[in-house]
Amino acid sequence: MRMKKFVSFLMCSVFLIAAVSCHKDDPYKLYDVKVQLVYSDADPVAGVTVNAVNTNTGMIYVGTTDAQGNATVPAVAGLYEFSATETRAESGTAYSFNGFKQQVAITHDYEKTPFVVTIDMVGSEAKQIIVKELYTGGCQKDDGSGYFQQDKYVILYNNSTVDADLKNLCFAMTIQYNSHATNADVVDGKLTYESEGKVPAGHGYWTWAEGNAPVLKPGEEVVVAINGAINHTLTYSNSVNLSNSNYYAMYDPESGYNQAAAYPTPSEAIPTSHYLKAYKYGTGTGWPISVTGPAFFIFITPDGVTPQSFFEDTSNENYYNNMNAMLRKWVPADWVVDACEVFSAGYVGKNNKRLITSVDGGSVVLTNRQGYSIYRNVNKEATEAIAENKGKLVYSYSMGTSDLEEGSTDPSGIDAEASIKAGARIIYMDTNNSTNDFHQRKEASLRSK
Amino acid sequence: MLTIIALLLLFPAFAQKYQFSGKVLEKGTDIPVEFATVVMPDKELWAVANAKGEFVISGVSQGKTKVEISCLGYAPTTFEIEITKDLKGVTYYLAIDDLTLESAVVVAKENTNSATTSRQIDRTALEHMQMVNISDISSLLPGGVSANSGKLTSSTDAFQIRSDETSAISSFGTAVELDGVRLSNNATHGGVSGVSTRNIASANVESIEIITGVPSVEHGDMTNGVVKINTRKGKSPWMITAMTSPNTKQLSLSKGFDLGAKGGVINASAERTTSVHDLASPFTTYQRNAFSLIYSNSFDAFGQPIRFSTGVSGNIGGYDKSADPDSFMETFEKVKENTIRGNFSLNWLLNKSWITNIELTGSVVYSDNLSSLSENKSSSSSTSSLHGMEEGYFVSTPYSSNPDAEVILRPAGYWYEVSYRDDKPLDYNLHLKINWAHDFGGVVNKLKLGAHFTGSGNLGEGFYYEDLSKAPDWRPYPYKDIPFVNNLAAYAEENITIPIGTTSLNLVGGVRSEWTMINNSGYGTVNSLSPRFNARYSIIKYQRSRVLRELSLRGSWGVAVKLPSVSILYPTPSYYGKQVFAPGTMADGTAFYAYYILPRQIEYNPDLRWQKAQQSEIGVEADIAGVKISLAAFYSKTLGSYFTYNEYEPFTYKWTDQRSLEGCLIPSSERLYSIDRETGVVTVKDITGKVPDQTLAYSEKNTFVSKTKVTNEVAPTVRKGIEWVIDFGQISAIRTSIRMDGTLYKYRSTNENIVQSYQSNRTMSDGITPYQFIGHYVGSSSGTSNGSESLKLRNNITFTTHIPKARLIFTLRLEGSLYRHDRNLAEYSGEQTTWPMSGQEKIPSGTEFYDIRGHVIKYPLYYTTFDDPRTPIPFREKYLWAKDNNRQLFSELDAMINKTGYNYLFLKNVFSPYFSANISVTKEIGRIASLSFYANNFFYSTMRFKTSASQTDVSLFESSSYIPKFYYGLTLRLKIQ
Repeated sequence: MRMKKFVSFLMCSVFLIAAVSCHKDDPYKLYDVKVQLVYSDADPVAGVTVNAVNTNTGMIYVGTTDAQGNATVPAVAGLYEFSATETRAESGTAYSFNGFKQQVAITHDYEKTPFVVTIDMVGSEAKQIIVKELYTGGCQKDDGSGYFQQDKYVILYNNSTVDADLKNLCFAMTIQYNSHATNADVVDGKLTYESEGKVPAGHGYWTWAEGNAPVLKPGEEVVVAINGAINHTLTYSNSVNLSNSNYYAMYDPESGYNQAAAYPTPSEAIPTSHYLKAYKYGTGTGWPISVTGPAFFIFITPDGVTPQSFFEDTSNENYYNNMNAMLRKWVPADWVVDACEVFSAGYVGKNNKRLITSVDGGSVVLTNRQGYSIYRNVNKEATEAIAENKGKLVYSYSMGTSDLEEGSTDPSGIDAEASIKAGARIIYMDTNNSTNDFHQRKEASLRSK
Repeated sequence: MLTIIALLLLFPAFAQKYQFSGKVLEKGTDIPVEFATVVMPDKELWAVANAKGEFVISGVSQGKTKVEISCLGYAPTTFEIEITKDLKGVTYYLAIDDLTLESAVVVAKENTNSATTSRQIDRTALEHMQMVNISDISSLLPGGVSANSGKLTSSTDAFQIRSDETSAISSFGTAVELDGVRLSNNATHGGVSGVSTRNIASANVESIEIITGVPSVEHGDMTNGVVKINTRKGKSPWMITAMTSPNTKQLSLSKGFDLGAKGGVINASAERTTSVHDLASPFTTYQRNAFSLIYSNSFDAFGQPIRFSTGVSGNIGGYDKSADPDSFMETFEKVKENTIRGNFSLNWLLNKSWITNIELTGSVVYSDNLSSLSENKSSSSSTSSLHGMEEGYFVSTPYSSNPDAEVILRPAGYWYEVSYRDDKPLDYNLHLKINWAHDFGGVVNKLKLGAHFTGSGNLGEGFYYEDLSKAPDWRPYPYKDIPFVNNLAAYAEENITIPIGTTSLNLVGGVRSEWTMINNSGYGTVNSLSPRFNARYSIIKYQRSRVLRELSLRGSWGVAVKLPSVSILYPTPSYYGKQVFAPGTMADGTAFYAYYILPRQIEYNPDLRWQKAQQSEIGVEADIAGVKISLAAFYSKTLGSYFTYNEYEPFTYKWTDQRSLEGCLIPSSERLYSIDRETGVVTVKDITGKVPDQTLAYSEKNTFVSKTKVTNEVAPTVRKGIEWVIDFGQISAIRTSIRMDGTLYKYRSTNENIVQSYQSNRTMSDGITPYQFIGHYVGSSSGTSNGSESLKLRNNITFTTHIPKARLIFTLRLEGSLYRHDRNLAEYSGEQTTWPMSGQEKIPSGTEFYDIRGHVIKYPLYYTTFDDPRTPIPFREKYLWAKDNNRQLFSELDAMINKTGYNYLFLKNVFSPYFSANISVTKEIGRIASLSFYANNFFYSTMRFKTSASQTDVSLFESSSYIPKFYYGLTLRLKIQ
């Protein structure tokens, strides 16, 4: 009799406890978040992957769209950044659509009060000239005393099937310089100039010396040293050798970019016709491209505008956050040929985009000071489709990095540099979205040339 | 004036002289107080008690006079006597100075005898606040803020009297004297700021007097007050002090040894203080090991007493960061601050009819400050270091080929730069003062004449590098090559006290003339004159029975002159260097750059005047029913503050680069570059001799070089305010007294000098021609304002609970900033140069820019061009014309316009009130020990206050700019007989 009472008492208390605990919110409960992709002048398409990145944990939740562009992404409660990207070909031109929405909060009330996350998809074309590699993070010094970052460079590549004339092509970067810095242009999770079709070129921009713009054949590249075009490996063995006679150099002390540490004279091997010309309108003696997370882009001025006339025009000027030292010029998005938005590792969730969606819809993460570079992903389908590449493509790509949580490597698995050495012609990804188009490479590609 | 002096000299012959003698004993024990000093301040007469406590002052003229008796370790006593005949055999009692005394004071006491604003802080107050750095006492001045962090690792702690600004100029003008030895900052090259007080021992300070008003003409070379520090002198038991606080620890030992009959007293003290900058990384520790030895005695010469003292004090200290494990190997920073001070003083009481007293003091101060720094460097290409001291074009040469080359080539690789700064200032002074005191018919007359000789110089090597082959740009500039600056001053001061019925009027007037000998400089010998005048009218002498118990009025006026520092009189030469040749980098990273060097130095200005401060003050002291009120209103105008600025002159140089070398027939490894020193043309030689020399093509660049000049600011700086101290007396039931002190302070300063500015790293719109314009701005070439004003209202309340029976004293101090506003100013007596703007264009959108929330632009007043540097072109006119007529000029002129970065720069920024509170407790344990504890900002305030212009909240938590940081300390003092 006593035993029965005891057991029933036990069962009642268990039920009570269970009942009470049922009301506690389960942090691992998945909510089916509804997402809709909205296209302004195109039709939605099925099969587009929608990613939701949890800004606190870094975990990615995915969903796929149906023919109306609706998707369901099962995700736990948290703060998210939603993004989607897709490429389609129409009448011989490749179009990419990108969209993202930051700071979407999914709470435990989602089931009671559900809402639809709408993502505006913006379309853009794939262009001839792309940024193949951007190396700005620097490397470790040999004696262990710190890092060296005066060996930056960028490589441009002809990704198309016809010759590309680089006349009037300018190299620029945005203000805010750093992705992790507080950005006064970001209001309510969006850039204030997002819908104005322009991007800011801060401090100054570089272009080829008069009459010396190179012409790239399909598959050809041009290396431009951003700092000293010399052999840095003699002192810093982890660095790169930029003293090749084919390379170009951002060297123009007469423009005002004359800081001795940043701009030693280029190697004697490099002809002076390879020296670029700078148009400087910021204060200071060095072009301040970020070593942590730059937003780099290249643009070509249209007919009737030259880099010189663009410099003289004061109507395109604007000050970032009204600060005197942060003068920048607006470059219309139509002029932009390619871009690369780099985010800084260690600031996940705090990095801000500076390039508008139509120019670059995503971002790639860089851990600086370790000799890593930002390198383009190979477009597997397009590259394998080229008949002449048969037997020359090298797979088992091992130059990805694993310092970031999900790792960063080329999803195609193709080792582009080894394949090029074997005589293949590589077509790189160009969806105007740095998340798809770039990865963090373990070593600057020039080290193995 | 002369007839009055003649008359005064005649009178003494007819006055009767009497003797005043007696005994000084310790209250309660009747032990004789040897070395007690008995002084008649109005007559400049004194005597020192012997081993039996007996003293004799002879030659005292008849009449009423004040007597002060004091001795180390005892509370001083002051009283009045009337001499009508010989007054002998009276016994006076001195009470031991401890907390059992009802009169123990832990705040700054007003000097009621002084005709100018002056305060005394005695030992009890210094021990209660646990002063570690002498500059901490500024908190005891009316409206003062408690000291910040108790850390000695900042070398910028200097006095700020009657000013709050961060400008170092106002602290530069405050004179600090240690036992009569003037501590000067003139001879150090660290820059223009006040003398750092961190290397002065704090544990054996007996009292500090601060004169914030117009001081006597005895004090020269200051414009902002005098701080006189007196160390312990006299017989005393063993005093051991141990102090601990989070960042600073101190241990000190001192004793006054009695050398027996007629042997005098030796005061010896030693102190060790260590202060850590960051508790988490205790490797930056400032150490101060101070010692002092003072011998004092009194004896008779020709029948008249002489008080004599001589002493030596010093400090061995500094810090050493080399042990820090977080620093990269072989990098370090070390600072050594050693000082030795020797001084003597003689006070001979002649007491003749034509002279009363002679005082002679002298001192020598020598410091050895050596700081060293080692840094790790590397480069992937060669770098050029400029060492040349003469004008010309020079090409880089490796150190191994020519160590004396003007431009040294440092190869690529890794190296250490080890640098030293050897600073050895030496100051000496000799001061003779003659007093003549006489009273006739109740009128006390004191005449003071003096001569003061001071000199300062430096014996150091200056800044240098250990290894010149690895040094960056550097030129030698030994401090010892700069001649000593000597100064001779003569002064006269007349001090008369005239009784008018029941009131008395004290008038002090004096003048000081200074000759400064500046050798080897265009300034030569310069003379300056400073007159000073004080008056004090005591209307009602203290009478307890009345409601208005005491009332006196005072006023002062004076001019004080500040000599410029060595950095202005003997300026460090500076060198302009411009890269003129940039050949391509060779395969090993070497590049033979060439530079143009131009030596420059602050130009001698024959019209430079000495900086003067005109100060005036009026004050009221009253005692109304026991509430003591002291009010002072001051006004200080500093004229001609020293101001350095740049001027530009056109300059053309030849630029040669790799483009001229592309067609060179000589292979790179066989080239020898040379550059013509005068013309700047580069020649390439073939070292094998096969190929003939080749002269390289160049382009000419037109730019500007600057030269620095010094002048006086045209517009004055004005500081004015009111200070009050209200002592409500003690509420005896709770043994607590309340005192309120505060200040209302207003500061205003604008700079209307025209300065030049050049945008050296900018080009014209072709992107290649260097910028061709010089902008001439009002006051400042950066930013949009040229001055500021501020108004501060501060009020502090101190509650002191004193329980003599428990030997306990407790204070709670509430410091409050009741109102504060700052405002930026842009003013010019000529035309308007600062305008409001709207939108993106830098065009004036109106005329009013104060009190609007919007952006503001500042135009240069006018500009000049390279082609025509003499013709000033009015800027605004031309800019507005170019907008519609010449867009290229419009975009080029745009660079000279300054714009605000935020839209509230010219709004009045009002701070809402904020407060903080400190507590202090001192408890004596019997007669041998005492324990003190203090906690600053003990609420660890997280309060926030608003600033009206930026409309933001500022948090007081962990902020050190508004209220003192949360800090505490504990001191134990032992007195062993």
